[in-house]
Amino acid sequence: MSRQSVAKAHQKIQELSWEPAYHEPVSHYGTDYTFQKAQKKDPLKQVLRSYFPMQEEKDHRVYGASDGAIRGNMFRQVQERWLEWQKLFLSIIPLPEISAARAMPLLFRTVPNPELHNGQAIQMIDEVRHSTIQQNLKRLYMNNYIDPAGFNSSLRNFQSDYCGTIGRQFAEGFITGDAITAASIYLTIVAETAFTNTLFVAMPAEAAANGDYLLPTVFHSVQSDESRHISNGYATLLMALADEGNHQLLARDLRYAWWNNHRVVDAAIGTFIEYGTKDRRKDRESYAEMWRRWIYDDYYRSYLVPLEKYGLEIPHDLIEESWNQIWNKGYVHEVAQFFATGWLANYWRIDPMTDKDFEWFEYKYPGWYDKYGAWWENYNRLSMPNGHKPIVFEDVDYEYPHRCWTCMVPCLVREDMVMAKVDGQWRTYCHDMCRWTDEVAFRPTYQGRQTPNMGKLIGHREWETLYHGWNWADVVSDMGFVRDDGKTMVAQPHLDLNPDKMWTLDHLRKCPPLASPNVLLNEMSDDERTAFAARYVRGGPAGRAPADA
Amino acid sequence: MGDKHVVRFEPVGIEIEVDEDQTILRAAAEQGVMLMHGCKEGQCSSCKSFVLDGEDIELDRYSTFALPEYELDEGYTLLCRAHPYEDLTIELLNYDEDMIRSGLPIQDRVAEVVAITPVTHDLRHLVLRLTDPGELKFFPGQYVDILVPDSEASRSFSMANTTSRDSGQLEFVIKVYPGGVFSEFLDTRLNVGDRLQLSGPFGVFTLRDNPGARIVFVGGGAGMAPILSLLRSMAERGIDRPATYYYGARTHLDLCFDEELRALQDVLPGFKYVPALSEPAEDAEWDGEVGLITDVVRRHEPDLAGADAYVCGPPPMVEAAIPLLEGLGVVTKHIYYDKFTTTGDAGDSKVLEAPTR
Repeated sequence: MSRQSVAKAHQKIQELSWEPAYHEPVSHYGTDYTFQKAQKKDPLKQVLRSYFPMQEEKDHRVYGASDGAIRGNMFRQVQERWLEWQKLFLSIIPLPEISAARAMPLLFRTVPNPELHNGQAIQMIDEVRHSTIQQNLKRLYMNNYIDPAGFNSSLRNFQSDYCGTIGRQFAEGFITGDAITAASIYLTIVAETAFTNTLFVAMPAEAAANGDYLLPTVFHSVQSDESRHISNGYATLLMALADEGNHQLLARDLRYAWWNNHRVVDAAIGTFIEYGTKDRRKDRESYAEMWRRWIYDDYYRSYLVPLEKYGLEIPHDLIEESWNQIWNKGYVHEVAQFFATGWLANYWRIDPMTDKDFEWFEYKYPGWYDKYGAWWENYNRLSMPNGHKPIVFEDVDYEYPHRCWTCMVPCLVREDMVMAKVDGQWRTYCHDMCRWTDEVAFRPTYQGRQTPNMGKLIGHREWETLYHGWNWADVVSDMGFVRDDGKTMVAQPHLDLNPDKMWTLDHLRKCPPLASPNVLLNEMSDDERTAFAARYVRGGPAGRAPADA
Repeated sequence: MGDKHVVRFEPVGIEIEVDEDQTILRAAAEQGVMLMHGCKEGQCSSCKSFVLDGEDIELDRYSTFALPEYELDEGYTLLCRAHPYEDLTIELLNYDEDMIRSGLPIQDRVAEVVAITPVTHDLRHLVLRLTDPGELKFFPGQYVDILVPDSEASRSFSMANTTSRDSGQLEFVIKVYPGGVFSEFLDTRLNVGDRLQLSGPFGVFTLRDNPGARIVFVGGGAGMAPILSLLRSMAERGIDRPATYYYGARTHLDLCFDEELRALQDVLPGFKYVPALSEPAEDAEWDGEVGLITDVVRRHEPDLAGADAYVCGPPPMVEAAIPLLEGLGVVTKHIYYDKFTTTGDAGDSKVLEAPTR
């Protein structure tokens, strides 16, 4: 059997005129990288001739599955514990997709290789498609799920609550700083090559185990586009590596991108998979097990390490430290506990954990119960309003954490918190790597070298600052997380939709005002601040006060 | 274990053997062929490839988004899920030419001398056989380091054959220098049956895919070995790109593998072998080219635009050949070369300097 060569057809695409002939385009995003040596070939031979029929076919399948889910009443059979977390996830995920689409044009100008522009253009189209089918999925949930509140407002929610802002920081990472740092290293090399497997392979499997077969359909459709993106990243990385002057910047960017992705993706996806599932079969892989297989064994050892001999400085220490965070320091558990502590500031419902969950956690993460068990029992006890306040105000041996100014996840592994005065403001960071990212990496010079294209991290990065001193009822109203009756909250720390069991703005009005840890930090005297930091790092695990306090 | 089948990857021309129990991706990784992949779960389609020849493939469970049925019918497959049940030719759609060969595991092996044959007055054809079973995988054009017995030193030699798969053998062409660390040992003390330690493979002097483009080989002295390996490999694989091999020697007594190279002209219709003598003896009959090999190339090749060039030989030859080839229109990045030096002090036979690119 002989067939027509795809490679030859792809060759013809190179003959199109990609480079502008009659004008010099304006560059908004520059790069400090240089590309002088041999150009790389586009490693993936994708031609539009086969692209559009393929995507059309994939879209048809997604529509078919949507139709089947409606007719099969899937939305009423799905585990609510799982679907509630999708209110958060699906509010965030279309935005990284759009950011990724926006990132591709940054590469057209900065990577001088017409051969690669075809792949980048197709990736841009991919990302728009992903965003569209994900938003459509959200619309179907909203129309058919028993509790649409939270699905109906998620574009707004995305950027206004204590979790979504973390997602926005991640999404903007694709277009933050130097064009190569953002669109190539952060997006394609680290986010798409390392972390998409947990996102797009593990999440769908978990969704299916919880009775949702529509999300897997949509996300398999997305994941099957990932090959182009992995290839785009690889080709650009190899081109950058060929120029020795880039090695210093590559080392910097790989450190930043690796750490930031670990902080955000492991926090979010780890929580969804471990705390959003009802599937407690012992043979189900834990997030830690998946991480070890996909990210450590496959990405780190079989993708990154072979590049070392080409001059890529690999952040071995950070990869080991990420694993240390996940396995020894309970990173995912700390995050899930924080999300549940702050339930009143969100737009979904968080199901309490049961004995069956406890048993699974103890089996997969020995020692889990001693650290987190008592707190989750308290969460369960305090879940229905009964004269008490939400758990964050009650005495359950949990100290509300400070935010990390860089990754915007709080400083949950207390011993790792560091503090620095940067740009005239005292900031806390969840780990010294996040301090380094803000104070060293995103600066106009790096190790004595001019890096004008990095820009710097700005904005109200600590969500609590926005509402410092506000009454909680006003905070929740302002965010719009109130149900149609004008008083019942969208968020609930349980899954019971009986109005008598649900929290309202009236409950919140009796609570103390919201205090921003960062505002308080900057109001402290130097001595007070030193004492605060010394105490903070002695706290934990599970948010406990220092043993001697 | 099931039966094994040969899977050949185009357009890179790499062949691997795959057990029916293995996926093609896995077998490739074990044999040092770095193929693009992502999830290894049949979902991301990074390893999607096109089956040019052969049909009998079984796939493990995969997402039909990654490989819809109509693509399967058209001939696409997912290498991370595919088990071959016959010999296959697969067109890679997603690969990086330089990286694909970067994954051959470097092995430390022991080999036994099978033959030491003079092919000229100062070139020796050394044949080794690996003592432990199993091949030493290498790509034609690569080299190994051989440890000089009773010394700390090792010297690099390119293989002249194309594979050690069936025979377990490695062939070399080594120039004997008076006082050379390895070559003197080779000439005076090494006997059939002796054992040598070696490690490898190394090097990137491998044939690059560039369908249809002309190839110019320029060689001298022991530079014969890797070029012979590339030419033999082209013959085995039926790569009939227009190619000319300019080989420079001093006198006709310095020519070797002459018959084989002339015979290759029949196997590869586009191939021409042009030996040239810089000091032809007056009494000997020689109606071939005369002069420095670079001058011969200059006379024969007015325009080499679009061609690939492979250069291997003594440093002065390589250093003269590169600017010449550039001047004739070969794009700099398409000049591939191995330069070996004779280290002065050691008077050593051949230290192959890893190419700088």
